[in-house]
Amino acid sequence: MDLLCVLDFHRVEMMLPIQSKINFGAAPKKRALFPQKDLCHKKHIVNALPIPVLRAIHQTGNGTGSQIHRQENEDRIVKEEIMARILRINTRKKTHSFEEPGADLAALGGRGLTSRMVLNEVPPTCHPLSKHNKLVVAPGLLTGTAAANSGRISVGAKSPLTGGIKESNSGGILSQKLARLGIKAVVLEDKPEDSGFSLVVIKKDSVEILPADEYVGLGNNDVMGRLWDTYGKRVGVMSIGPAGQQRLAAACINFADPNGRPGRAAGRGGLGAVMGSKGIKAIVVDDSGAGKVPVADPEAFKTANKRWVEILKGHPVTSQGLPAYGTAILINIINEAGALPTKNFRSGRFEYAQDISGERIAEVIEQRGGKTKDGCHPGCVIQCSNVYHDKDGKVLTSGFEYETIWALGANTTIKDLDDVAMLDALCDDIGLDTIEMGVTLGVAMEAGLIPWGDGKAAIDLLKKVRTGDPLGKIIGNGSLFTGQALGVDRIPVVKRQALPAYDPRAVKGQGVTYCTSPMGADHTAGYAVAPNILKVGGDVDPLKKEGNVEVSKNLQIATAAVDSTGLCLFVAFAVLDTEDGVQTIVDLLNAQYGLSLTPEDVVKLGVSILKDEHTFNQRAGFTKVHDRLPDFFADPLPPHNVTWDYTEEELQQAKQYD
Amino acid sequence: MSDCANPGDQFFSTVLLMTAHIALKLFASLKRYTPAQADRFSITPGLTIADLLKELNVPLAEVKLVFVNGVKQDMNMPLKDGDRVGIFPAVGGG
Repeated sequence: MDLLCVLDFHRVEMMLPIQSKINFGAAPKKRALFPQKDLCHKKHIVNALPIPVLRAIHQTGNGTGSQIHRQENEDRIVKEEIMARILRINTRKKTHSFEEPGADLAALGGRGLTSRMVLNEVPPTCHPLSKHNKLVVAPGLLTGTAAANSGRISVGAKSPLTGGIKESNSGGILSQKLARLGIKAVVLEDKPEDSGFSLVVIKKDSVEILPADEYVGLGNNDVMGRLWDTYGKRVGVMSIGPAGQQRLAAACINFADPNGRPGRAAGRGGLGAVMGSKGIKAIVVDDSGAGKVPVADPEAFKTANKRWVEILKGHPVTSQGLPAYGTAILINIINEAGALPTKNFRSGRFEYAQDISGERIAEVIEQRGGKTKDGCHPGCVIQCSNVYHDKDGKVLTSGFEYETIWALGANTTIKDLDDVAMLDALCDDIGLDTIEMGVTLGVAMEAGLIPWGDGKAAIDLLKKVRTGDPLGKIIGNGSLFTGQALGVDRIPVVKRQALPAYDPRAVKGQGVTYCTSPMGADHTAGYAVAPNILKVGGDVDPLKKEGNVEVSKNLQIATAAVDSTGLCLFVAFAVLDTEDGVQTIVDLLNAQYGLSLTPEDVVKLGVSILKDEHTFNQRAGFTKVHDRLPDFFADPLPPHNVTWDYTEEELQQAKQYD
Repeated sequence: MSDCANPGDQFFSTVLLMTAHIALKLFASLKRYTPAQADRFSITPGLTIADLLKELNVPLAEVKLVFVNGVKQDMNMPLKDGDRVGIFPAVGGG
């Protein structure tokens, strides 16, 4: 029984009641995950145990009820030994090792795994660029299988931007390849004593750590292009650009999309700087020769996946809105709702919103011959991404998304779509978080460093990050650093991280997420825009406080769980509106791992992840005073003239799980 | 009440009301239903959103969200002069 105590799903003693207008789907019959009595006399329960637990039981001779069970367990152990490994890379010694995950990691994937490993292994008080920090890269629990939209990846570390724990989530093709190679996580550890950079190449039967001299200083486009030339088209690549090499706090890690372009990124929190501090320029993953990810019950998996695809293809957001207009379909609606932060969060409406809208982008793409529909990884049935061409019909950027277009557009009042696209392309190539840089450019405009709305001046300024110009180093460290350097008092950040594309005064549930997420101001961490504005998963007034703490809290829990599966967060639009949505995800997990989880276990998982993350932050020195918006949000926001009016105590309710 | 408006005033206000205009915008897949002069679209005062959509031949099943002056409203909301109306299908992103 002691062994069970370390299982993740059991860490949270009490289930969190879901009491809000958010529909997480119908609650099915309640079943205990692992009944407390007669534990090991039930075959399905034995099979449900993570491998280290199984091994422990097997080795001690406890609990396996029969020889048949013992043989089954042995078979499963052999199979799982091949699949569930953690690859550790010592960046100082240039060595690597594989290990099997311990009991408390075996059942985890994606964000659950990265956050647990950071909590367990990274001293919370360490400098994020020091040898004590670790960069953990983990596919989700369903990644590598045929489950639709399951190819996302989590990257975790102590953040150089926030000083707290960070999980940054990305698309791209690397995650599925890691999963197929049976790699549960790649961990970059220690720190080189010299300033050189290395390239890590992971293949089915080898891991190489090679000098990366020929790639040093290159932007992500060239790095990925050359690596595809050298290691074959379609290999997975994650890389840093000049920003990450300089260890700047707004540096991201870019992931090659299916076209080999750096259009996907683990954008937030400066994780590119952590990779830079480890002296790793890029990681290549080649899954040639790898088999399929093992699935415990292929028939049940097939059935669940069929329903899963039906759910995604049956919801109007995931089947029509997102593929037709991309994520920037939100520009017009958030503007109409009076919540599109404009001119550094001065107004909720941008006069030229139409010019940078999803509808406009789709028109331009059709005229110039780009792609209005694209997936960030194979197996995506939503296809929300795009490829945007310039006036000459050449690829200018890809993955041109709502948050990016808002940050570099409405927030800076730049209305020329081609300028916004060029800024996005530069961020992808230099390796910078587009949200952080859009807000930083707004702060630079606030200071008068460049004029409001001047796209060409913004492009020239952003290019300075590539060359290591001192001004480039200032803006490359993000909004707060830039605001301090330039003497600005209007800096929209929480936990030093720039606010995304919804003004918290006019989308209050989202504001609660900005304040209370362990990630700092993050829109994905609990997307209250769905019930506040989009009437998805409920309908809660965005302009009033009532109900919005609960909305944010429940969405933060659900998101943490989704981020552990490797599923794209956009599946939530369909899941929140579909009665058997959560159950279908649970069915997929159960079929893959031979488990008997219930939707309640998913909630427990989400809570346990948030607890891990808040625990790390507390140990790093965070308290409730860090859960505040800057005080200028007490000023009224036109057109609704709403203010941010939560008390500190009210906000803390979003972090109370018991 | 004895001091109610005289018939001339009533006539005047009726004429004013009959010239109510709204700024109408249809977005995304609904854009194709945009009428002429949508920025200053004439309506009968008190027309509900549902009536307006019928008038424009917009299939109600395709409409998910209606904003009037930046606030989500339901289909029975009566419209008045000067309203800013935004009509959306189901959308999401982020």
